[in-house]
This record gives sequence, C-alpha cells and structure tokens, in this order.
Amino acid sequence: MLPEQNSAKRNLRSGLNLIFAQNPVLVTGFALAPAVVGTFTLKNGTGLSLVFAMVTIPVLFLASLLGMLPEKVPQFVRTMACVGLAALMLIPARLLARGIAPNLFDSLGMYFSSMALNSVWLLRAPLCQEKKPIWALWEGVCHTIGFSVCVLAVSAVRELLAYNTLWGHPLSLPAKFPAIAYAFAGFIAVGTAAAVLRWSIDRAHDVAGLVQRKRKKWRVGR
Amino acid sequence: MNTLVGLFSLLLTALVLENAVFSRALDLTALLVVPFGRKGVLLFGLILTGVTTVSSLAATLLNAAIGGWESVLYVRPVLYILILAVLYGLVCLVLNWKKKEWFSSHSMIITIAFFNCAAYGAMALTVYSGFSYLESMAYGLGLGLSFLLAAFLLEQGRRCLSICNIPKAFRGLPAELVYVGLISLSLYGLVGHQLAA
Repeated sequence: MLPEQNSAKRNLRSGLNLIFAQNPVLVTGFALAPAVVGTFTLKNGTGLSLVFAMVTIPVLFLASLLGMLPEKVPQFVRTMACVGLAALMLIPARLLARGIAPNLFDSLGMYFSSMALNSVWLLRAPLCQEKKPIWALWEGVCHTIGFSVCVLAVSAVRELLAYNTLWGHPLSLPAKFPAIAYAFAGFIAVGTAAAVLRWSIDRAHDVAGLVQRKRKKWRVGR
Repeated sequence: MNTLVGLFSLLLTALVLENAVFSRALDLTALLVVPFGRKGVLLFGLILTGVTTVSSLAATLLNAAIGGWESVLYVRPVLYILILAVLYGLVCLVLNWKKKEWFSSHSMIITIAFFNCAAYGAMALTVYSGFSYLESMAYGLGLGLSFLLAAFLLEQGRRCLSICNIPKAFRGLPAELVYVGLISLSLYGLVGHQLAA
C-alpha cells in the first residue's frame, strides 16, 4: 500500500474514533448540559449542532495558531483569546439559527449561548496548541460530527416520544409521553444513549476479533 | 428583616429547588467527568461559588447600564462571556504574581470554574429574573453552593452504585446520568412541571 493511502486510512480511523469510540458527549462526557436539556426537539438539536460547529472549529484552529506564539505568552492569555473568539462567534451563529427556526434562540434559552463555553474546546484547546492548524481543524470537524450525531439522535427520539412529531411534522404513533421533554428525561435519555453506544462498540470489537481469529485460522489451514 | 428572609429563601431556592446540576444540568461535565479528586471538587465548587456570585452582580450592573438598548440584543451574551473573561484575566494576573506555584498547579481547575455553563447561567438567569443587586448575589451564591450539594449527593450515589450489579454497558457515566436523572425527577415533584429556562 502507498504511504499516502496508509496515512489517509490512519486519518479516517482517528476521525471515526473521535466520532464514535471517543464521542464527545456519550463517551467522554463533554458538553452534557445542552445535550441533556436542549434536545427535546430535532430543530433544537440542529441549532445546538450549528452553534457547536460555529464555535468549536474556529476556536480549535485559533488555539493551534496560538501555539506558534513564543512560550513567554502565558496560557491564560491564550485561553482569554479563545474565549473572546468563541463569544464573537455567537453573533453569526444566532443569525444563521434564525434560518432553521425563528424562535430557536428563545427555545434553547441560555443553552444556545452557553455553547460558547463548551468543555470540548476548553479541554482540547491546550492540546491543539501542539498540533498543526490543519490537524486542529480536522479534530474540530470530527468533534462536531460526534456531537451532532449524538444530539440529533437523542433529540429525534425525544421529539417523537414527547410530541409525536419529527421536525414539527405530526406522525401517528400509538402513545405520547410529554414528560420526555423535561430535563430529568434528558438525563435518562443521554445516559441510555451512552450505554447503547458502549454496547455497540463492544459488539463491534467482538465481531472484529472474531473475524481476525477466523482469518488467522484460515491462513494456518492453508 | 423581610429583606433578609427574602434573600435567604432565594438562596435556598437556588440551592435545592432550582439546583444548578439537577434542574438545569449546569456544570455536569465538571461533576461527572473531569478527574479533580475530592479536594479538587471542593476547591472547584468554592471557586465556582465565588465566580457565580460576582458574575451575577456584574451582569445585573451591566443590565442596568444597557438594559434599555434594543440594539444590544445580539451582543448581550457576548458581553456576559467577555465579563467572565475579564474576571478570569484579573484573577490569573493576581495569582500569577502572588502565588505562581499554586496557580500553575491549579490553573485547569480555575479555567474550568470560570468558563462553564453555570457561570454563564448565573448571569443569564439573574438578568432574566429581574433580580436586584442583593438578590442577584444571593442567587449566584446559592447556585454555586448547589454545585457542592450536588457533588455530595453524587458521591453518595457513586458509593451505592459501586456495590450494585450494574450491566456492563451502563457502568460509569451512563449509570451516573440515570442516577442524576432520578434525583432530578424527585425535585420536579417539588417544583412542579416546567421546562428549564
């Protein structure tokens, strides 16, 4: 295999790892507050994903650029610069969110703006300072996809069960559980989603191990 | 006397009925994931309490200054976060100057205590509720202390969970989230049913 193909394969694997095996919400437990409380409709989930992308990707990129500064610039100054950019990114995010739903900002309340202080970039930014900007960008994209996958799945299930709708369109389901929209159900929904993801990853590892053993046996037999 | 009783009841409301962790999931990551250790969580809770108290007051002051301006609608959250950044910068400068070693070993705790949902939430909620200066400080104090109460309850929960036979997929974070959800459900019974603001 060519070296370029090898490195592309490695990048893809690391990306998939960040999305599933190290999912920012369900596995590492970052940005839990908006994922728990804000995800009671699919529109909310989409809005959260949008603001997460608008904040996390540029901030991780900036963190990587700040890593090029001389060492005498203290870490807290770099953090303040990242916080400033994250706060400013809320303005375009809010303008774009109006395109998804006019009342999205009110529906999410403080969770929309608190995404600017999400723990994903806060804990990853110091590590991104040691990486090249392109890698920080790649990491930001992977974290965004991981966050979006989790938030969209949880919000779709909660909207279906709580209101019997999907993206506001009514669906005929046999039962309705309005309590699913409350925060306590959000904790339980995210907890269950985390358990389902862990079970799926374990099963995938089991299957991969089985395939590897079979392949080895087959080679020895030949 | 009435003012004192009012402030105390506000503090209790923020501490129990509107607990930052159980009713709004604020700062859940710091509580469940970040490995601070027992002493670290206590220190984090104390710093967070200071941050929520001061930032609530700062948000109320800022709101009094710019409250009438319609054009600041989009900029208001940005200003709140910038207030947190300025407070953080000041604290870091002082600590870096006076207690450099302590600061370098605790810088991550301080950073997370300043920049989290609870610190921002304290500012947004006090302004949204229209509290006076004293009330906003009492509410901010209660919100910070509610994190410590939640940390204590979660510690007890962890002890109980460690002796239970939990399915493998639910061990750790999933079981803790379900546990927090059940406490939250019990608090909803006290507060009544409404979506968190």
